Amino acid sequence: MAPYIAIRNLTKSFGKLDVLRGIDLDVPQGEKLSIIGPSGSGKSTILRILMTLERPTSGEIAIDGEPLWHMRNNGTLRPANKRHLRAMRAKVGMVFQHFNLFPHMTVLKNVTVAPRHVLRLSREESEFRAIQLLEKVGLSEKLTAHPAQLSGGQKQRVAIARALALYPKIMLFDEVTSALDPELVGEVLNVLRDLAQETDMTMLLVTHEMRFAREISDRVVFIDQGLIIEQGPPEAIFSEPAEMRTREFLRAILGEQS
Amino acid sequence: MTFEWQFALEVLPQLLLALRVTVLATVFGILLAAILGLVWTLARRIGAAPVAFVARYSVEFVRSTPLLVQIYFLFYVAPEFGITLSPFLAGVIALGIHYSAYLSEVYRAGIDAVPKGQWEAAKALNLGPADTWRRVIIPQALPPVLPAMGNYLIAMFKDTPMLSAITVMELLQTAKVVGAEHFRYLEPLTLVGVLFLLLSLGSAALVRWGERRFNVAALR
Repeated sequence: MAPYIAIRNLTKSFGKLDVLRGIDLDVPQGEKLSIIGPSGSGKSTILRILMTLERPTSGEIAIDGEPLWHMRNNGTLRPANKRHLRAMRAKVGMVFQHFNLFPHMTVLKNVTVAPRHVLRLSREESEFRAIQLLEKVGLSEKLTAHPAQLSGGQKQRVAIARALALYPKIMLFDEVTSALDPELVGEVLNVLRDLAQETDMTMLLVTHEMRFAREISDRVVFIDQGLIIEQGPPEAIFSEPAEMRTREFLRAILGEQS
Repeated sequence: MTFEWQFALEVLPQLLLALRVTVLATVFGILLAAILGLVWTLARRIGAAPVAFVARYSVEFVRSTPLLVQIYFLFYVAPEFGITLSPFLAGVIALGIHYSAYLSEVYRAGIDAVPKGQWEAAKALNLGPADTWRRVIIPQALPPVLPAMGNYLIAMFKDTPMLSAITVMELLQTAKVVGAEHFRYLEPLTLVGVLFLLLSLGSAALVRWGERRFNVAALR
């Protein structure tokens, strides 16, 4: 079976800086994949390109057999237009490091705005679904609160519910606990753990939480300086990494975390 | 020469009537400026290259030429191109166009201040351009620039006497006529000053109140 997400020779440069230098990655449907690596290694850029927030410099990406940044046109590939990107975006949802909640909307409105205006659901239906999702992340009592009244962990859980409200096939989590106070990390990881166990969504997580990545991932990819250095089941990567650079990275970061 | 209270009271009703014209010109003027300013800003940000170019240089042109020239132009020159406007309408349009250029800059500052993450969140939620502007960006861009918009409202209000140049019977023009009739200018012109002062102070208070309300609503 063809992989659900197929990334081929993906590169991205910002001016002279080569952030991604040729990434090949296949992700089967439903896989929970963690991407780890030093900061600046390009991990987040992969997610941002999948969410169409950044345009790749070169390479190809297909989701469910459909090119993401290109369109098929009489057998040739052409750069995607806005309509194609919008159609492809419907399959993907993203949660950001800094939440990016809409500060002028209540929690409920944050979660219903896209279902109402993108999926064109009725107010009743979008609110019904939003309340279910907010219950799931443990925030059904905060419907009328504004983001400024929430803790970081609560904000991030709202952001997760907001992304889930569009029922994406793929969810991207970009360092979603990195901006949180240490005592608030757990509540967000619990939500992610439940999601990973209960849903068949394909999940890509860029994370610095090694223990968590080990616990919930089907596979872990280690990236350094824009290249995949090593990948495999979490046990293999964390217990007996084959590459020197992986070992050094894990030693540095685990030494810090224990 | 002493200030004649009796005479002042006598001419006050006439001036208050003229004040209505001044206030109406300001209200319609600022509405036009607010809408047109947003059009300029959006044209510059999301319009195709030629549209953005035209919008940018129109704003520059309007900002760099005197309001009085624009008023004269609309009233005396536009008819030669088949556009004949009443003095009041020509005045309102001139005020609206002139101040739209300033408000366009104000909007731009407000929009630039919305964090990049808000645009990205809107995109990740697959909101279209119209919904992104209407529901995410503009509601966050406006409240912080309300004080600046209020200042332009008051500035426009104080610019309305320029409409007297094209015979609009606004406050100043009326005071001049009243003064000429009675050969006394002290009382009518003093009243003009006082009325402008009162309304400017009133609008400033109104702007501050609106600002507080909006900021509470946005809970920033």
